[in-house]
Amino acid sequence: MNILLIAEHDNSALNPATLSAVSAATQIGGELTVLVAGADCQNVADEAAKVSGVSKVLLADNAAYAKGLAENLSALIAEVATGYSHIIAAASSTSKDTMPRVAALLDVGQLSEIIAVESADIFKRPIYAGNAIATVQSQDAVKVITVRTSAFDKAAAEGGCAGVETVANSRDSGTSNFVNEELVKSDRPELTAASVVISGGRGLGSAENFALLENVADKLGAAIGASRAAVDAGFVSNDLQVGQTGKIVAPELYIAVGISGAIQHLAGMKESKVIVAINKDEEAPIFQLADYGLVGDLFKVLPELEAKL
Amino acid sequence: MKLIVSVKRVIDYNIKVRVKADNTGVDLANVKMALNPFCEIAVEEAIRLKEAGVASEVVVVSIGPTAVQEQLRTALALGADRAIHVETDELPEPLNVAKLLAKVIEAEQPGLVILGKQSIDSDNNQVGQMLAALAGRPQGTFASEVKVEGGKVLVTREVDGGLRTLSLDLPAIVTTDLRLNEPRYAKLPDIMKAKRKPLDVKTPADLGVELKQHITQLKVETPAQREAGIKVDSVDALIDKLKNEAKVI
Amino acid sequence: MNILLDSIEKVVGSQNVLRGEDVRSRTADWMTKEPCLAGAIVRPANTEQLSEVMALCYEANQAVVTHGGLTGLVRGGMASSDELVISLERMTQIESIDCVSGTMTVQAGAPLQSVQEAADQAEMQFNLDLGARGSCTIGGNIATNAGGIRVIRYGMMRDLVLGVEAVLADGTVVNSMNTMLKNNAGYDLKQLFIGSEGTLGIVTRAVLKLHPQLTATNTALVACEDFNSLTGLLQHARKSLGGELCAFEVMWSSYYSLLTTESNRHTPPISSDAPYYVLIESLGAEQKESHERFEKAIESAFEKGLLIDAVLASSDHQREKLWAIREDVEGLAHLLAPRFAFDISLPILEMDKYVRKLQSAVSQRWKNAKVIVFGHLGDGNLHVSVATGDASDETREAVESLVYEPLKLMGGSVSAEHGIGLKKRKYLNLSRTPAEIALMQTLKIALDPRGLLNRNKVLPDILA
Repeated sequence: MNILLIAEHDNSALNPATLSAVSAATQIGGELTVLVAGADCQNVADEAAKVSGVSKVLLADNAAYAKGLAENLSALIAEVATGYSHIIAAASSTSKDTMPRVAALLDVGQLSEIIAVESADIFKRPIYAGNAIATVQSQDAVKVITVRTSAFDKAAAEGGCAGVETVANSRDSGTSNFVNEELVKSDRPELTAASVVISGGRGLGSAENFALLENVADKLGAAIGASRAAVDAGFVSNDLQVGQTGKIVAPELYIAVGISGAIQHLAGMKESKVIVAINKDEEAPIFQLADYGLVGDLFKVLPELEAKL
Repeated sequence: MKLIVSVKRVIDYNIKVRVKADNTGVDLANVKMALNPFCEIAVEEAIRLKEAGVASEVVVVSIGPTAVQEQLRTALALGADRAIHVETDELPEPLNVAKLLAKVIEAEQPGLVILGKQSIDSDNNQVGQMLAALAGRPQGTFASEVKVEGGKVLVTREVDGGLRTLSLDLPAIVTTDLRLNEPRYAKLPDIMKAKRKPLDVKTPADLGVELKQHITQLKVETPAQREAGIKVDSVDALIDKLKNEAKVI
Repeated sequence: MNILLDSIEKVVGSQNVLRGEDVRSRTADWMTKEPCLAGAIVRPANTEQLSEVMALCYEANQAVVTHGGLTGLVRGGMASSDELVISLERMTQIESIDCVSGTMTVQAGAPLQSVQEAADQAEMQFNLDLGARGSCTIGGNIATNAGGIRVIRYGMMRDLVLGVEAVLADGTVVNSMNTMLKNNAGYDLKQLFIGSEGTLGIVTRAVLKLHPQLTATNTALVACEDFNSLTGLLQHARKSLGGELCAFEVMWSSYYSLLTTESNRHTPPISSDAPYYVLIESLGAEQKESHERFEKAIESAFEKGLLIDAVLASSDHQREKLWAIREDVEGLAHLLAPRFAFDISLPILEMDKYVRKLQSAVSQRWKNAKVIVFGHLGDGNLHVSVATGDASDETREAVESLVYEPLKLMGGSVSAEHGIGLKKRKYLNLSRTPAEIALMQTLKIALDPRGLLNRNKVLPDILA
């Protein structure tokens, strides 16, 4: 088997999501080639060459691929694809845009956001927003796959020594043009998009004490949330409210501090991957949902957490 | 300019899905069905473009068994002008849907095609992109803003970490993201009028498309349940668990 | 009190007797957010513990106030520093479900929503529903005989309870956990505890009545031109929807405009210039059949001129958004603060006249005052908010008499579904005869001779 893996990058550095896709590719087995398509992206190719498990890197360095336009990228990938059994990429806004286009050009189906590799042609993927898991088998000679990165460990970024080959190719459809980009540059991620959320409840006692939460959030790159009780008490504004009548969040890590765990609050965060509860009342219902519970005084726990992270 | 909107009938988003005991799929018997939310946004965007005078006609297409006509009638009640039902026994997989739509487009020659970015049942997120490839047209996926001006469409896309705007030559394919608009409600007089709007039924054979299976679903299971949590006795133990067991920090 | 609390700690454990700051940091009333002032909060784990706690309190002549989810609207949860709060927050178990008999046995501290969800899991349905579902508890629903949005079809809490277990003031456990629809062996004692607001005993467990799960919901928001169309529409909906009508919630334009165009809290689904809006919902077994019947009923109402505009929810998301307008009590409280809120019932045909008179009486006295009305029309129940701009006791009394006085003549009630608590105590005599109140007092003395349970609530002072 020959796997072609499409690198995720910003022309200057390899996005670590690629490493998760490498793990998935390794599980499928066979020779692994990484395609780095971009502009002025030699660095990325060099980085990709060092990733453990990669045997070859193809570098398509051309202005047509600078902005990751799906029309151009998909034409390139479909052309490079000859001889590969799998074309795989970490699920990202770029690959989700491009890969189905590749699949259609090759007249094959696509397996979106797989979470497990069962064999070279059988995979598991979530359907119904993760409320069911489907096991699916590809009937096509070429399997086009995107990988849900949270489901795979990252491959080692160092340890490989693959050679880099250049692909001299320029596919510019000319029908799509990049106009501009606004990337959110905030120290604190947006609540519903954050991968870590730390929320405070009535237990915080005052608006000033939310600073304790912010210090920990800074260390974790976390967004700040709040329970309705904290909003009602006027500690924070209601756009931070997590729960049935507030925001629904599902981060990788949710830390509930001084929140007792009313049903309305749980409805807004129970889909989080890992839930931590910190509360001094060991009877608080939040502990029934938490993966890790710490019974303790938040005024002692939060500074300690901040210091040790 | 003519607009085509493709819509899908799916389980209502709020219904808790139950996996069938024999693991062949999800139980849809007597379950409430609705327009896929992203498709509803696509319909709304098309109607707004018509109201703004950019589009002259909105044609809505759906593929599947007879029951999808309910959703087509909903789209007509919301303001679409006519409907095309491509009748199939089951809901075909994305590449087949894209091929059927490509044929519809060939016949209808729209200036813009708007689809939902993904359906909330199969969560594939493929049809719009595949259709664009088959039709050889540019695409603007995950749109949060759509502006048609001077023979081009400006599409602001929701991408990882922010927004990116593309300018596409028409005809183009656009797929919608959640923040594009807030769909309207179907009003009673319009629901009544929609019953008299034209709805054509076609088969894949009429369109000259042979449906082919690319992906087989072997099994559907309920996801692993959350395991009972544990209590840790110190901040150190908590950090250790989060780093080494849960691997989230 | 400290000696008593030490003995109580031996029964429930020290972590379940909250004192000092732990008590003060909790609120006693969700409307005013006042801190809880009780001497302590006791959290028993089960009926046996509560029975022991009450025996100790009885011995020590210690008054108690029972707390459920604290979403009541009549200040029933207020406690003073010489009272103990009994909180049922640890008694939340769903003990068993019997789908054949259609019953569920639960502990009284279980939140309503967890009961609804447990029934749902078993493909059954528990049909009490109200906005506070996530916080309010079954015990509180029983103690206040809660109503809500499905009364028109399934009745109030009293109609949904088959049996209760309660602990009396002296610690005696009265087990009346009947599970049968029919049981005429002597007095039906559970009725004593339903709607008596914790003054006769503390409800600890209950047997609830379940119905088969129906999933075909159809929802419409309609606008009516006048009150006659509104009542005509109610009759039409009852008839043409067969038994499937399950909500008929009316919003006067004052309410609808306030929460949509005036405040921008919700996008108005239909224009806000009609005088009345109704949220109509049907609940049936078969999706297709039920939907067709619903659509036809709304269409024929339109053809008959009973409504002038309507939108139908085409997804559950839209259904939620329609209900969010009707259930935005938070928004109402926020926009009108300070306001006086009332929960009254009166004959449906008198409603329009009543509201008009109230509006003119209020605006005569306070020029810029607002009177905002919505309610469960089919149940004869209106929720009236009056905001005059100040919250003084003097204004409160003046507003209360404008709202309550006319009810007596119409045979209305000062409390349709919220109860009496502290707030409406002095108006009980407007809705109950002296003989009724005297009998209530006789029951109170018989069950709680020392007056320890929810002291000073519901009934006028006995010697007064």
